[in-house]
Amino acid sequence: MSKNPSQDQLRQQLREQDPMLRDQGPDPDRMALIRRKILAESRSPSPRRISYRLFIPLAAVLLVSFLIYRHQNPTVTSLPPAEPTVLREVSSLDADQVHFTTSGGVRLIWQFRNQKSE
Amino acid sequence: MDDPNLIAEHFDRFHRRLYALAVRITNDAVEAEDLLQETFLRICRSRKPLPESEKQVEAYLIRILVNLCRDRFRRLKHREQVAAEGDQEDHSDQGGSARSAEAGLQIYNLLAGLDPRRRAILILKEVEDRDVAEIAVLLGITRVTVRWHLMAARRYLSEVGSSSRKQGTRGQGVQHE
Repeated sequence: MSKNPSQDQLRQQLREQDPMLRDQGPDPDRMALIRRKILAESRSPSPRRISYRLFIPLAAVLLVSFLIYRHQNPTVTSLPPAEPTVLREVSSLDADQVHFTTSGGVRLIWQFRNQKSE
Repeated sequence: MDDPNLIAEHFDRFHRRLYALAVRITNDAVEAEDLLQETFLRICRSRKPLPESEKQVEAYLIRILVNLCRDRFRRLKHREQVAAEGDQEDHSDQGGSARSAEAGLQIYNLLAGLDPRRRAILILKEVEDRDVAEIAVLLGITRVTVRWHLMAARRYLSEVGSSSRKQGTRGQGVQHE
């Protein structure tokens, strides 16, 4: 191969060394086999692929159901928090408070004294 | 899916042309036959109808063939990379590189380093004597892209050809010493 083959030289080399010059061409037996295979393949029913288009009506039905549900139950997520229930009034006499600061903020610990035991 | 007889007709009409292109791209008759078969099986499995005109069908088939070649080329390249990583510790590739330098003098072996689409463009232009506009239509790309691929392919062959010549000469020198 020349150092800088010109276009003509390159063309000449490609044509002189063309693998088709020494190739006998496609093997007729193999070609007949391939042809039969192709015919069989094109006659067999193609496998049904699940198209994403099938999911569009399903998604639409789900969306409409959700919207109807939300419409009929508008307060499901918008209810105000319930009033806290006071289980027991704690006076400052029967309990101690411990304050300590953490990374999450100030924490309180109530320590109740059992007056009966005292 | 298209009429099976129509596909068979297209096979009869185009299989020689496609086989020749596949042999020139791969430099391997067996692989060319496999690619030819795969090309036609693809159109059998495709849900899209074949184009109407003969020219368009030819272009369609060539595009499938070139894309199949590109897939194989990528797989082969990946396998070679993995193998090369495994062989790095051996350092036993000296004989191999001498062989490849020797084989590299054959222009169709040098073509193996090119992307199959670029190879196809070069072959369609220089061997099959098709003009740039026709190649652009066949491969569904612009004429500018065809020219760019041709230029890159020629530059590659010029560079690789000269470097393999140098390697071959150096190898001979070492043998004589």
